[in-house]
Amino acid sequence: MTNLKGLVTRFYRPGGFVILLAAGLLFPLIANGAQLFLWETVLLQAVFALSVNLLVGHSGIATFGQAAFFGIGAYAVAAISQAGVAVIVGLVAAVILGAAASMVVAAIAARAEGLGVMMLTLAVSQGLFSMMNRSNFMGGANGTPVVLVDWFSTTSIAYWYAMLAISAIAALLMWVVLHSPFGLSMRAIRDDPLRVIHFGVSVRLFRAITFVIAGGFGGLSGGLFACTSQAVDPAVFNWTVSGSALIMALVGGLYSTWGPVLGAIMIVLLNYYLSTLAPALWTFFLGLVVAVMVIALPQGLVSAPDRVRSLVHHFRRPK
Amino acid sequence: MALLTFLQIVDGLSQGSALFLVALGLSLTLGVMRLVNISNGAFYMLGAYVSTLAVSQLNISVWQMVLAISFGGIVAGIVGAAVEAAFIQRLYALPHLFPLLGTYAVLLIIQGFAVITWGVEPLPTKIPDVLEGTLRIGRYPVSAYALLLIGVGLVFAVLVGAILTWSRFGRLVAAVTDDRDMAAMLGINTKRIFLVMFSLSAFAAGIGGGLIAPLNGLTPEVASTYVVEAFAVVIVGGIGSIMGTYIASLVLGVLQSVLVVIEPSMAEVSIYLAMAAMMLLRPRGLFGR
Repeated sequence: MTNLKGLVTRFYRPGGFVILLAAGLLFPLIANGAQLFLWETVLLQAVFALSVNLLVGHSGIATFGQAAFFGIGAYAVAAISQAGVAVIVGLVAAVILGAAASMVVAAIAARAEGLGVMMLTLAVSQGLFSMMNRSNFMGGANGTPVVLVDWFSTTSIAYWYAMLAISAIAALLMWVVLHSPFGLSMRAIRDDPLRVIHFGVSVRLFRAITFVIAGGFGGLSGGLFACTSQAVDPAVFNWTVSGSALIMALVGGLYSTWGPVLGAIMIVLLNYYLSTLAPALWTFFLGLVVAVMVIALPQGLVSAPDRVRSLVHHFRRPK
Repeated sequence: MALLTFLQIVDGLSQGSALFLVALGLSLTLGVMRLVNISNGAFYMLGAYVSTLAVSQLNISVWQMVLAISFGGIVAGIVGAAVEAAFIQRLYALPHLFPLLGTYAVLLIIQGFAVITWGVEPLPTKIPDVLEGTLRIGRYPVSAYALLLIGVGLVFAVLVGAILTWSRFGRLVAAVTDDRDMAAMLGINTKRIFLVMFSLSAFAAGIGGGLIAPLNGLTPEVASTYVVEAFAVVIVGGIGSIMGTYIASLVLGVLQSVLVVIEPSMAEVSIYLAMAAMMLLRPRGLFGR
């Protein structure tokens, strides 16, 4: 019995992943083009939210500039697509460049703690934002088109499957990272860095590796964004991009594996449907959602069932 | 050339003074409460809207304008106090990320309120006729409005600096900054100090918004654009230091303004380069402790 229970709990979370994947495979049967586009946005934002959550949720590194790597990935795909090279090469380049840029930031951030890391990552992304806005490089403030030469048309069902496959592989990789010994060390460092140092583990090195992994995922999501939107402009570097990914991670669940995916689904869909109903209300509404989550459910929607259960338990308790 | 440089420097000083009014609040809340207060951008925007809308015609006197801008600042300060008491107060005990997200929520709510109430289109703003003119300093013409901005910035720097250095309230703030728990045990009402600091930040940002709106234009978007530059100023100046924040605001304002003429592509980036360089070479900033 215990074995069975262990088995079930062990595969409980990937189980959710499998269900989502199956739903994704069947989705084109019932969806129209606009819905496919909407859910492609969900996919790429989910990958981005996972990348942010690897840092802020699982490693306790307060980053506020993940947009830097998102933007680098997006511009990498744009540049390579314009050169007429296969898009998949562009996506690989997005991952590599995102990770490489992240390595540089990690090297600088190693000197800072807590608030310092937050401010430094913010400086990097915002610096890139204002630099691209002012320069003539890749279209400057006007942005630049993404030309998908040898890739499926973004309106086709094949494109949906490509997006789904890439995001699913990314999500699986993230799962592997989080459940590996490395993932355990990350959480140990988050909870008690001093103790981990005394175990003889180089906290700096581990944090740097985490940064690089998150940068790779950030670059990938930016690359997927470039493909889907077919244009890139400096707004991909804006701090609000990092902010919205933080919100997705928070809404879904900062300390969980699949929370950010849930958060991305919720935020992207809410944004789309509320914006079509009443465009002016969105910003106000999003602010309310974040405020309520921070106060009432800081562990995100994934913790809601537990919260409800403990509340019920609380009220049932005999005097 | 000399004239151009002079005009750029005056322009930079006036922009820097407005930036200081936003950065002042950030520096105080970051220094005293360790709060990354993104919502200050929203109070800046709120003050700008209220003071712009309070002035219905342009041929107003200087005093009417001063009144309108003060009104904008006071509204921002009161809303700030209400927000702190109702919401922000609950965040201080949580890890870094939650205060950040909480103040971001406040920014979104106030910005969203502005979008709903006043729309996303730019609100027409104009410098009142009486301040349109130029004065002369020696051989050089200087815009009267720029001088007003520089003056207000200086008044705030001196006044807030003096209050925090010499008043009883300032000593209580210093005590709370150094050791919050010990201060609370000694009977200092830390809750009230946090409330006053947050409200003061919002007030200063509101004044800054009202002053700079006629120069830089006004949309709900300004809530999220200006505040990041203010963070850079705080880091360069040193968290919690009024003098550091003031000097950093002026230096970065002038730097940006001069670079717009010499090398425009470097204008805004220079602020973030300065921020990153300061964090590497001297993490506590110019005048931080």
